Amino acid sequence: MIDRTITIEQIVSRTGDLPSIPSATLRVIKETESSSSSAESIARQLATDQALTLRVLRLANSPYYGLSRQIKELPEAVVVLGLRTVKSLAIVASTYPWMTQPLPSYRLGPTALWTQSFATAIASQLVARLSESTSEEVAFTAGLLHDMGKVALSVWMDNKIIAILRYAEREGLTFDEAERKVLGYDHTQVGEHLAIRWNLPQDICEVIRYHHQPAQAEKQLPLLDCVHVGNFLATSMGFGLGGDGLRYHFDEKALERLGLKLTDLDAITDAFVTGYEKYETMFMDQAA
Amino acid sequence: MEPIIVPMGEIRLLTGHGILCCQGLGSCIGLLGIDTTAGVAAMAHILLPDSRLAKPSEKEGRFADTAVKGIFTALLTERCKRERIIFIAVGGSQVFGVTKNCKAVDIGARNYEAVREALKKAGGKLVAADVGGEHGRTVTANCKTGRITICNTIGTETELCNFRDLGGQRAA
Repeated sequence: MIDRTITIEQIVSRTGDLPSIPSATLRVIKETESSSSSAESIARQLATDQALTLRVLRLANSPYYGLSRQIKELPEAVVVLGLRTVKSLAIVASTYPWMTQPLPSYRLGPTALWTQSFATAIASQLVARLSESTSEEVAFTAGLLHDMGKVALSVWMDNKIIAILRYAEREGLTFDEAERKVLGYDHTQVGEHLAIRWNLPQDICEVIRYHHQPAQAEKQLPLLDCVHVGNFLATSMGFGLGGDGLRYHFDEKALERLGLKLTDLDAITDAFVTGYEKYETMFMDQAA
Repeated sequence: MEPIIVPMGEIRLLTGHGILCCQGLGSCIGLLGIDTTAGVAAMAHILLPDSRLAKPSEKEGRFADTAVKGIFTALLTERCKRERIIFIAVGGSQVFGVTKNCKAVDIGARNYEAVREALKKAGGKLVAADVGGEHGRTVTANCKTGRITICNTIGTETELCNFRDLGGQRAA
């Protein structure tokens, strides 16, 4: 159970079974963000992880791409799939094992965190594409990782969610506000510490920290607005809901800042669900 | 008995005994239509209020307006009587603190309103509903016992009603 004298740093350092991302995947993330990246340089990073290499080759040869010949070499696979898909696949394959674990403290059953994270990734990517405000693949990655603080915090939460929800209802607060009041910090702060420990790019750390309060971030960041809107779409459509449900604030100004209209929200939601159905089939076969 | 899970945006028909279920409803609505005399039920997992605001879809259950039509069509082809069909709606949650001047964000409330409107136009009788709030829900309709149960995302299960007792009533 959480003792309020435990700091976030101690939660992150004392939690034995923390999630991790293979170093090859972290290098692929960094490489795809580099302006000098190429199919060969990405392939070199991928080749250091055999499991990842196999998944990428399997995806390149899947019926989804309908190729008439077999792809046997990594650089060719990177060309066929594209840098974006390779990066997304690498991160999906790396996070799937720990994101599919149940988090009873948040009332998240098996695969619920995964469903919520993957749906947020797809929605954030779509919002980035529609708004042309930031890189689609970075939006996907940030969306996928936005709630990873829950994994570390859940180990210490025990049954506190009931107290947090009661407090939130009594005081008229969002779930993350109530987490901060009851625990002293929320899952976004724990997630940020974890992201820094993994040496993730700074913008992704910012998204993890402020995805429920984009206006609180020090600088305006389109990536953050994309994930805020993407998270709203995924939560609203019920993907992987836990005990915290929809008890979060939605900042309509995030949509405005991205140049999107509230009146387009239904069309965006519709496009998101259509995209989710397509990508889920494509990625899940390869991630499992 | 294994429940029949209604996928997002779709409608499932059940003749005779069995269980229909809509999982993980946020702002979506699980809409059940049933003719208890004929022993036939159909459930839709509705995502959005109005089919005119999005791309046309083959999935009739995707929008409130097309879902109501789809449920009626499915039930009437199974020799149900329009006047005997009753409806139950569950879901329609909203994000926290949505203001009245930002109705677009409140997809849940708009979904429920659209369901009511479509039912009114089609002469459908809504006899029970559990909608709103900020929590997720899973609704299960046991067509043998008539029990409609709701499990919310915090893990508590409640019985909304037994549709066998509700033939002539209307939801508030």
